[in-house]
Amino acid sequence: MSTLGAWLILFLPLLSAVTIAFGLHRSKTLSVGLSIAVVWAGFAIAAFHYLPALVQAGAAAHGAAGEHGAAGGHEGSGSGWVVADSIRWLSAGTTTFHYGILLDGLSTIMLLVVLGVGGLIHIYAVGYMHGDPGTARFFACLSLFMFSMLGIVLADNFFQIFIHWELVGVSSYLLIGYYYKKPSASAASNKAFLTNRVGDFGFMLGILFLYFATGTANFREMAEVVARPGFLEQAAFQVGGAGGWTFTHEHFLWVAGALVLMGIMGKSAQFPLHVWLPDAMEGPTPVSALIHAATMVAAGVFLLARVFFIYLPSETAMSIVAHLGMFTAFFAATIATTQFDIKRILAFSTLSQLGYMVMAIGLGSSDVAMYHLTTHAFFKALLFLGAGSVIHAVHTNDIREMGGLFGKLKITSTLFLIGTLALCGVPPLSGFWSKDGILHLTQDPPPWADNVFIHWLPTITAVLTSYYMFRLFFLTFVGKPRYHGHPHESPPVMWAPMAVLCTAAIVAGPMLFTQEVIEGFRTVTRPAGAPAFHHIHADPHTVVHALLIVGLGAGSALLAFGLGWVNPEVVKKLLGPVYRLFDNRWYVDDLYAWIVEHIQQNFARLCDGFDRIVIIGGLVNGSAWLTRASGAVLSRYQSGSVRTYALLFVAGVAALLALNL
Amino acid sequence: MIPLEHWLYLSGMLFTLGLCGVMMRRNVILVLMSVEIMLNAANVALVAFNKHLVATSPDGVSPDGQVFVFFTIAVAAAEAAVALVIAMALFRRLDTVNVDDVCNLRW
Repeated sequence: MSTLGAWLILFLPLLSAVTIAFGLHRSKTLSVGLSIAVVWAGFAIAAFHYLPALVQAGAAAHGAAGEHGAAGGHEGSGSGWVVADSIRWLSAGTTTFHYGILLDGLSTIMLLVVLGVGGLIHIYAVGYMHGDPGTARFFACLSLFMFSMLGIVLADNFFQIFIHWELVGVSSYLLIGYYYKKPSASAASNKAFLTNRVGDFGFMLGILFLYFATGTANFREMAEVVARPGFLEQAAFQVGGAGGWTFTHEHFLWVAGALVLMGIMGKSAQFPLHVWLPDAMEGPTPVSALIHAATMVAAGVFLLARVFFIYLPSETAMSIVAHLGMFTAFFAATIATTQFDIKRILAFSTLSQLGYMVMAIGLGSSDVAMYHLTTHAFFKALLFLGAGSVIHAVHTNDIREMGGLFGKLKITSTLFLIGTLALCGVPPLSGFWSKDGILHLTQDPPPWADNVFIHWLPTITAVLTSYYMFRLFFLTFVGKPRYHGHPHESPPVMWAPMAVLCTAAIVAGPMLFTQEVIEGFRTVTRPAGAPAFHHIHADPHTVVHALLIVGLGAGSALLAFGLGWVNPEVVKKLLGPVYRLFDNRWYVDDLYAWIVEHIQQNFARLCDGFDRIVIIGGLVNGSAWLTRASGAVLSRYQSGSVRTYALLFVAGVAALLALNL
Repeated sequence: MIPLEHWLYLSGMLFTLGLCGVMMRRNVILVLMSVEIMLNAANVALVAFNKHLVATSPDGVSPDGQVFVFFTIAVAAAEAAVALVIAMALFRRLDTVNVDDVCNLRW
């Protein structure tokens, strides 16, 4: 298939961003129109040009697998459908950097999510940003973001993905700091950027490690090298001669994988680099929905699925990934139960769900992780847009100043409720299929993650999820009104995209994502031994189990916030230190603040002192002083007397001759 | 035939004489004359060496050293003209030919 479409999908948003930045911004309508048009043009290309071919190939592969029967190794390898192109970008010595397109099942599903959810949010933003003087700038930044994100999705090598990784960082920075006159917004954008730098440092090292070990940066070539028989046991290098310690490629891969995971921690906001995401909610709500819930933060999960072949050979690496995700999921859910800012609750919920996805990959199933990424993009974007609609109506983020909005915002409330149910995993909504798919994995975990935490924490997290979501729902939409002014429903331009997302969140179960489709959406770089994904069976046992989880969480929220039978203050006192731990976000931000204040600042002072005393005082001023002093001494010899010069000249020549130079 | 050493002694003595003149004389004309003596000391050495080489090497040597001398004489003539003009300009301006009085270019 032609790659022209893929190149168009990638570069049209850049064209839009550049056009708006250089002139078109004078016309707000044209800027907005262009920005929306390129996204939908991209979506149309992906959905009508590439998707049918992919589905066809997927169906064929599925049929072939069926004929070979269960014993056939064909299952799990996906359709193998791929559209690739690569141009040489620059070469330095023997190293050549490429810029290319790798469009396979994985990138197609991600393309559709990014472009589809992105397109809807672009439309929503027209209503949300109505009357804002910087609308053209906002849409230019959104277009820049779309270009950066699509670059990650379509990248065929590590260097390209790294460039786009940084580009999404920049566009995220620009959009978080959109209200740059607000100090908290510019602080949040700096925090996001700096935190991501920490992760990207490891990411870059990891890329260099992998490049060193495999000799290529291209994903498909790298996967082939790793899959080559004997590669893993081969020594990468040896320390201390023949009897010394041998560092095999397997060790190398897990070190590189852990380093790449740092980049993923930064972008997908996994513990301990999660601190930027809740603060990133300072940006306009469409940005929170698009970048900080549905797409950019999912880039880490996408990358994990793309380079799954690095992690799978090493149980250590898989175990790290699994436990990282598990802990982040639980950790973020506990914090979400205590927050009062509507967007922050959703941000912590996003952290928690991303944790689920990372954990699913660590448990060996990149398919279910990508599936959850997709469904999560639908319902989390929906929830954020709903939150935006509420904020638009009551002009505050604090759920303590809302309440009783159900009657006022009927459409928003209904859509929000469906989003909540989908996130909690109520069958038959999409969240049930993807999230219970992950929970199902934890009940029968692979040997490297077989412990009591993996068995229970994700389930407890699911209970917490439905608790904090229903707490949010009850405090916002039911109960006594605590808002000020006269809230009114958002215009259709805002609720229509929400309705579309809501439909997607409802039908994205096996109805839309049949077994065939899921197999079609596999990446071509998938390692051979990766376990296949099967939809969970919606038998009564599973359904009751899921409903029990939701009921437990929702029920306690109902008791405390819906009916008011239990006073939350009493529970707060009862829990004491545990509550304070959650409320202060496990003191992670405080710990970082302490580290910055005491360790980093003191170290900086030390460096500053070294700079002032040794570098500036010693080297710079010292050399100036030396020059001046020697000049003062030597200038005495410029007497102006020709005879003295002649004498000195002769003495000099005589000295040179005597020294035999 | 006068041996090479004798010519070199002569050259060395002339050179030392010129050098002493340059360093000790105050009159700018005499300093210039001393410089000329040093140049000619070098000329003597060049001619002597060339003669020696021509006499000792079996298949003969081109008379490069003697050609150098012609160049030296030509250049010295030009140099002497320039130097004397400077001396004259110095005398017109500062009314002196004593080099010790000409020390304006000092720190």
